[in-house]
Amino acid sequence: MSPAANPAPAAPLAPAVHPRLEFDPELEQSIILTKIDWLKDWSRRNALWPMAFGLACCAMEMMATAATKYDLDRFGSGVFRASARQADVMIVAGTVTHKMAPRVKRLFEQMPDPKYAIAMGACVIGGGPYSRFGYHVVQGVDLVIPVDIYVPGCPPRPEALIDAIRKLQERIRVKGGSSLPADDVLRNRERILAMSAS
Amino acid sequence: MSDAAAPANSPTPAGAPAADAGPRDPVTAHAARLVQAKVPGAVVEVVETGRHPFLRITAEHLVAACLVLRDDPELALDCCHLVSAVDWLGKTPADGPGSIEVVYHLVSYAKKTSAAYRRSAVKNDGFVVLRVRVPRDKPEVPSVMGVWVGADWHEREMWDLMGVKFTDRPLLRRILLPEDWPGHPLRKDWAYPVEYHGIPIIPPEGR
Repeated sequence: MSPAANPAPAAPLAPAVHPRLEFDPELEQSIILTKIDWLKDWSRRNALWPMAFGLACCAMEMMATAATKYDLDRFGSGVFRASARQADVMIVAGTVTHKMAPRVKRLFEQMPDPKYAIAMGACVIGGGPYSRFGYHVVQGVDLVIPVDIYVPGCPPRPEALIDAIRKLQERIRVKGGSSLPADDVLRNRERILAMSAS
Repeated sequence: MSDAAAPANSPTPAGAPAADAGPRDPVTAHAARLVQAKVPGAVVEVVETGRHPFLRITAEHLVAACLVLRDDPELALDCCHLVSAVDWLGKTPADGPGSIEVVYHLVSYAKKTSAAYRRSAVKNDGFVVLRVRVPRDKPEVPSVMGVWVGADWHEREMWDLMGVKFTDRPLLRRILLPEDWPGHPLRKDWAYPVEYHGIPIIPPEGR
């Protein structure tokens, strides 16, 4: 039987009608539809657990930030973890010496992805007061680990550290929650070595 | 510091602050007389006035002089408060390698806490300062660990940072810096390494 022998009248296409699923109205109000990436970033940025890790006097301000008066827990970052394997963000608070730098690097490598680093204070950003005449201080922890947020100050006020946490949350919200690439450190290293060669 | 540094064996380094006129320090004067009497040839120079009185001792007589100072009932220097060092780098080729000066600050806790000291009219700081000069290319000083055990970590620190080699003592190794650190960084001619364990170091002229 050929189609031409029995032409069917062209029926107008009916609009597709999905049958409305009947839910319990109470259940319907308790469901949110969203993207899984958005949900993951939302949970990540509101539970940035820092590592309990201080190197020098900036750590005092970090502790003050976590204590009752400034209460870092309001922003979801108050749970300082004593293990690198449970931490999301490393707040490098205090002078990083050449003796300490391999330990900082190893601790950062032990943290699970995604992981973030905040460079807190002048010493961590670029060596601070030890940059010019100190022989023992790493001139910026970004030569050791990739750094997301820099907090200037000597030491920074607790408000500044809270602002850094908020900035990190904003970055995760806008750009997504993935970590910085590790070759940031290599780029910084090449920049400094070019300075030595010239 | 003036431009010319003295050769290693001269008593006073050129440019060292001259002794101010001022009251004589009775403690230093007593210590100098004592060491001169008990250990002949030990005292090279005595500065009894000014803000920084000291005795300069030869390196080979250092331990004998320290024992005399510790065991004297008048002085009773029972504590080696500090061991430090000064790098007198030769500025011109004529100066030779220059010298390193090890400085010992000795103090008596027994005397400072005594009622007689608190009542005494002359209140100096109670320190006796010994200086020992050794050539910069062979900085060997006998250890005073046998006199005051507490000198142990001070001597290790001076080895770590200044490269002073203390002889006749155990375990002279670095105390602050990593074991594989290049050189002794408080020496005036210490050069910055280009990088250390993969971490680059900005050269001083680029800072």
